Amino acid sequence: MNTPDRSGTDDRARSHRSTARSVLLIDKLAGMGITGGGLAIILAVLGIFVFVVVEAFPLFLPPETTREVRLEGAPGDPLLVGLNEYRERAYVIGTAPEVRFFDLTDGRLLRTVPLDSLQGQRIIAAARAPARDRLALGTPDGRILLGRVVFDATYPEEGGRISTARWEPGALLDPIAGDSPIERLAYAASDEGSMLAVASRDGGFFVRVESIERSLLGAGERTIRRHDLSDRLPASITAIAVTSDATRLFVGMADGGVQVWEVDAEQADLVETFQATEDHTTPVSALAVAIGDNTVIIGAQDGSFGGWFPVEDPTAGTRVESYHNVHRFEPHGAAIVEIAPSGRDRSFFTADADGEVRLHYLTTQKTLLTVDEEPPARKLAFAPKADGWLAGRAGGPVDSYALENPHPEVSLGVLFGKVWYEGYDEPQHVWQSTGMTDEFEGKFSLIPLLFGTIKGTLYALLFAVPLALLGAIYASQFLHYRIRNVVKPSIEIMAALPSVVLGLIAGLFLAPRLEHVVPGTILIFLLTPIFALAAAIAWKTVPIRITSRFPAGTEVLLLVPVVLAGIWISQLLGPVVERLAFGGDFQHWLYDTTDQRYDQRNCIVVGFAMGFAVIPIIFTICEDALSAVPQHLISGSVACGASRWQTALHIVLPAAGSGIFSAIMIGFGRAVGETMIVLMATGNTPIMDWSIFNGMRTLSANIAVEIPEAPHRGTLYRVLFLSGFLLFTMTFILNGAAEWIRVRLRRKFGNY
Amino acid sequence: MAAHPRRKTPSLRVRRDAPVWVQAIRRGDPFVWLTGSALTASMLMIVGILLLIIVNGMGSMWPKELVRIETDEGTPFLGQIERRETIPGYVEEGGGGERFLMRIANRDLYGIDFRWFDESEVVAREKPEDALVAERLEWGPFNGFLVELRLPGETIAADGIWDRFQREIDAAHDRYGRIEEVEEEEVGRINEEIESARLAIREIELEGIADTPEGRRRIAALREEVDRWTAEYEQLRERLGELRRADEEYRVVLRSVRGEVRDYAISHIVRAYRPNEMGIPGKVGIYLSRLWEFVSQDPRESNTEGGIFPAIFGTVLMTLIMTIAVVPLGVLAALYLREYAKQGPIVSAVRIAVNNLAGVPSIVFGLFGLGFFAYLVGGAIDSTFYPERLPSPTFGGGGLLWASLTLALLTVPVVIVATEEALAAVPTGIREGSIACGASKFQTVTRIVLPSAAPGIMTGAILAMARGAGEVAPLMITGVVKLAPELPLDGTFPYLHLERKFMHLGFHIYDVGFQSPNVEAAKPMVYATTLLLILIVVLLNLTAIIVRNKLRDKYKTGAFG
Repeated sequence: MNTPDRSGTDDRARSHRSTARSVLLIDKLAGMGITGGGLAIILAVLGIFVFVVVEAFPLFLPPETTREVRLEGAPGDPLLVGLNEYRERAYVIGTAPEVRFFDLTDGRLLRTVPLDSLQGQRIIAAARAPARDRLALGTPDGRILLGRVVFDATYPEEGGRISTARWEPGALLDPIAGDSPIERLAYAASDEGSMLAVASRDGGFFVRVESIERSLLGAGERTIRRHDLSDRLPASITAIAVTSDATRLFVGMADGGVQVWEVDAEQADLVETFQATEDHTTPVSALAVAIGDNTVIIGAQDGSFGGWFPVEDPTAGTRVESYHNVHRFEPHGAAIVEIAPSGRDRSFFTADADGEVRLHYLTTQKTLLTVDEEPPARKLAFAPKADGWLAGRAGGPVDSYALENPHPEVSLGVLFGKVWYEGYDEPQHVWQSTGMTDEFEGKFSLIPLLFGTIKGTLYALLFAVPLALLGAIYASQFLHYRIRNVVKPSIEIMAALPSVVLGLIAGLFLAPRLEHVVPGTILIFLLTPIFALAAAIAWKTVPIRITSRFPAGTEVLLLVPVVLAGIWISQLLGPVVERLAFGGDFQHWLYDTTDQRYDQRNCIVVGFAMGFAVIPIIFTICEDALSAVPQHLISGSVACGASRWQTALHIVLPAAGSGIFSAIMIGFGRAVGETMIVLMATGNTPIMDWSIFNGMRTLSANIAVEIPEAPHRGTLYRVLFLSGFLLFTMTFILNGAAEWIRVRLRRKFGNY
Repeated sequence: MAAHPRRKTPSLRVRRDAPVWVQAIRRGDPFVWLTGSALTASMLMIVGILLLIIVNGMGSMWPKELVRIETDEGTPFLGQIERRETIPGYVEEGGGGERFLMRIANRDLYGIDFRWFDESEVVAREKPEDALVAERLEWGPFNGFLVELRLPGETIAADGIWDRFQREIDAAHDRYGRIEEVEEEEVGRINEEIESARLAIREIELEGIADTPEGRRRIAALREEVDRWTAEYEQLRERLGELRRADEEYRVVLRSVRGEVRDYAISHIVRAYRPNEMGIPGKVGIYLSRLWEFVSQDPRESNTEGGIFPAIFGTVLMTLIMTIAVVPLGVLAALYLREYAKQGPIVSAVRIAVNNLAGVPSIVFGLFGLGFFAYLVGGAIDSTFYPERLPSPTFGGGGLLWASLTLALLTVPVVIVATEEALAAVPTGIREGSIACGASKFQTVTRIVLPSAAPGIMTGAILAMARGAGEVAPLMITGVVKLAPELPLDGTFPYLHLERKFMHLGFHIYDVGFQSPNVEAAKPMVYATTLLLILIVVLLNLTAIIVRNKLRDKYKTGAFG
């Protein structure tokens, strides 16, 4: 490191010649600084990889739940529990005619509100409208009290928030089902009306529908209608559920059947009856409707449960939809007694008769959590923001849990496997990250994007590899050195063209013109090589007087008119071919005969633009590899009488084979990550179709399109980081392997 | 590919008595020509694309002649013919004929700028000498005829009206420029004062001293200040209103080819010309004036007209900041790798990794820039230094600094590789000489090695700039916008606003070409912008290539020195 003084023994001389202390110090410090700084920079750059992984990783973290507080609840088994969106207030309804309010932050009982109109009665059935705290409470004498819990929050000047909760009583309905005690209730209410389904102990089943027609002036006209469906049931009722828009009704029965009713103020139609359990002896024990009102979650007496939604039956051949058991789960050990769906996403809790509680997610068909605490859970409630839940337990206590489950909708199966989404007829790979409504479920399959990436890359390479490889063979083996001095910088300029420029040419110039000349364009790729071959043979018949003016390696100049002629004649012949073979219009022909739509921005366009972007890369590396083949090999071959083509094909090409392979890999890597060209030259639709006449969406373009809209650290954000990670790894491995091959190649030729 | 040579040997023999061309085929000459055609095709593509952009980019500002056509329905149109094509579709269904696209302009009258005409529906065409194109600040150009000038106190409809019109346009631009100046400077200043007072109030509130007497006094003072500025603003607005009204009195009356008559404030006319009676010099004049507008003015009409000055400015500034960041980093890392690190498998692995980083898709760097710089670091800066502005982000979103740093990361491998090459090319003899003279290693590095490697480092820096200037994907998500209200560099403290969003040539191309509501009208702008971007990138690359070649020659001769 430093410079030792070896000059002699004379002390004076030494003191003269020895290095100044400060220089030594600076040298040492600088050495440390440069080492530290250099290492830090390299680590920081490599840290990109780490950061991308860290941002994507929480997608795969399992959910966590912790019990925060136990409320003493109401005496007896709880019939209904609920909480506000900040998880600060909760209410509990037991059998006594009262509503108890609790402070969830410390578990304190805040207030007990007596239900005056039910004094002296017990509550024996209770129902809550989905996603709203409107309640219906039933009594043994057949009366039903409606009402709602109103949660409010005020924000005082000094900051913070004060949550409040109060009971707002509604109508007390006269017995709907005669005097028989109410056994089960289901309730839904919206601005357009409400639906209340009532099953009484003596087998009566009634639906009370209230519809409110709003006129422009705001005065609502109310119609109330009671449907008696008692004799329409093949077996006794064991569970009821109503959709949140109060139009559809699901009735679970003791024979394991589920009836689906469409009910409004005019009529009640039985839409479908289907068998939901294993056999006719296993009753349905619980029902709930998941967010979006399409999927019904059905639990059975034997502990099995699953999600059902209407699917078009492909065998029936009609457009009739029927309910299918789409989402299946590992069954509970005992009868399902309670199902609590989330109002946020498609997760839901189930509780069985033994009191075990599990959390599931419909689409992924995964059971995320199991909580088995004493006493057994009877009633569950999901927090409105899905960040917690309540469990009302046998004998009265109510537990409040926090829930950490930020990305339930993503699993490896969702990302890479086929998933059966609501509204689809079969499991599919779907990417659709945003929708129009709040109920929309993000569909995050990376397969269409991977497919698009590979598709675009392959078409690009199909175009680029022949041109670049053949061009490199010519440039390295045959090209006149003077022309080479022009060609190489031109290729470098080609490499330097910003991809946004290529995308522009492809999308704005090429795509609209190409659609009229597809056959002519395909002809170019056939005719031009034939023209080149023919020109070579014709050249041999030209008198030597002329040919001698063009030394070997200047054929490219002669080829300029040949290639141009190839293109021109192809364009001339294009319409002729189009008329003869495709009836005059290629696009119509394509659609009529193969049922493929011709997209204006398709893979021909992308292949050309992206091919253009990778040609210089493949060309340069191939050319380097071919030029690196030692001259004495070539000389030897030529000396043995081989022609220059034979030498190139049999000696040079095999020797540089691995270099060419690595060039193609690097070209592949570049095409995989290309963003702007794909963004501009394709329609960016995530479809899975190999056709060259339509587009695709690639991983990289997808990131560019979606990340500006992705909420920070949301599911989409993390999925995009995951696709970034995939891109990073793919290109890193491709480039690394290519680099390794090149190093080996260099070593190989070093040994000659 | 790797056919065994021995098995192939018999085919190598060429019979001397065969015709020349058979011999040629045997010897493989046609295949040589085939490979040559691949090279030729590649070169033709490069030339073709460059020509396409040059022709479209340079031609887009050339004033085209106005053609008056009449359709078989009897409606006249006046416009410039943009291009022609064959009508697609089956011949039986009306395909196969010719049609052309005409810019009929007058968007405020017709609702559309461009219209396709089938050649078969045109019954008459002529080029009226006195037809004019008036480019307006709003609604695009007006194609029609000059009727009269209505100036304060006089109306001119007679001879010399055209020259007077041109003079009035110049005068109007001066007036309008003065108004704009007042608006920008004065109004901007007042707005800034009000905003800073508002932020100061918020800061006091956040400190929690708003209820103390001291806090109340300060807030009251600030509120008073706000009121004062607001009053001043009102005055200014009144004055501006007067100026505007005075300016609006100068009007020009134009008539369209269908006879609709409209009058416009002369200051709203950017330029007017009669392409059909103009000679080449006049057209060159218009061309140059448009070119100047293009590079020096702000965009108008959702970026389809006007200039791209903010985009040029943003690109240059971003590239500069990137270079300032990337060169020291890259040189330091290369110095470590080449001069200080112990050469071994680990360093080669690091080297390969750094090389590979150059192949990692740029969008991944963009992700990193957004997630790490903007959200993580920027978020931290915001909550520490700018709590009064939250929740609207200052540094916590995309911006100039973050975009530049992202590109610096993207280009750091380029600099590292180039610098390493340059360091490696410095002959060992020179180093040993320096050490032998008693210099320390650091002295050798700074005074001997780095200066001789400087051209190589510069090559790397230029290549990095070229790469950075042309990159768009990572910028799209780290701070480039389609229209930035303010330049990132201006006269208000702290002059360089690193947190501002900015415009960029590459993104401008993408945005105007693909996101614009009026793509056809935007095409000239897009091609011209593309030409400019390519010029910048190609010039940078050519410089790098030349510097590098010079360098190579130098070391070729000096290798044994």
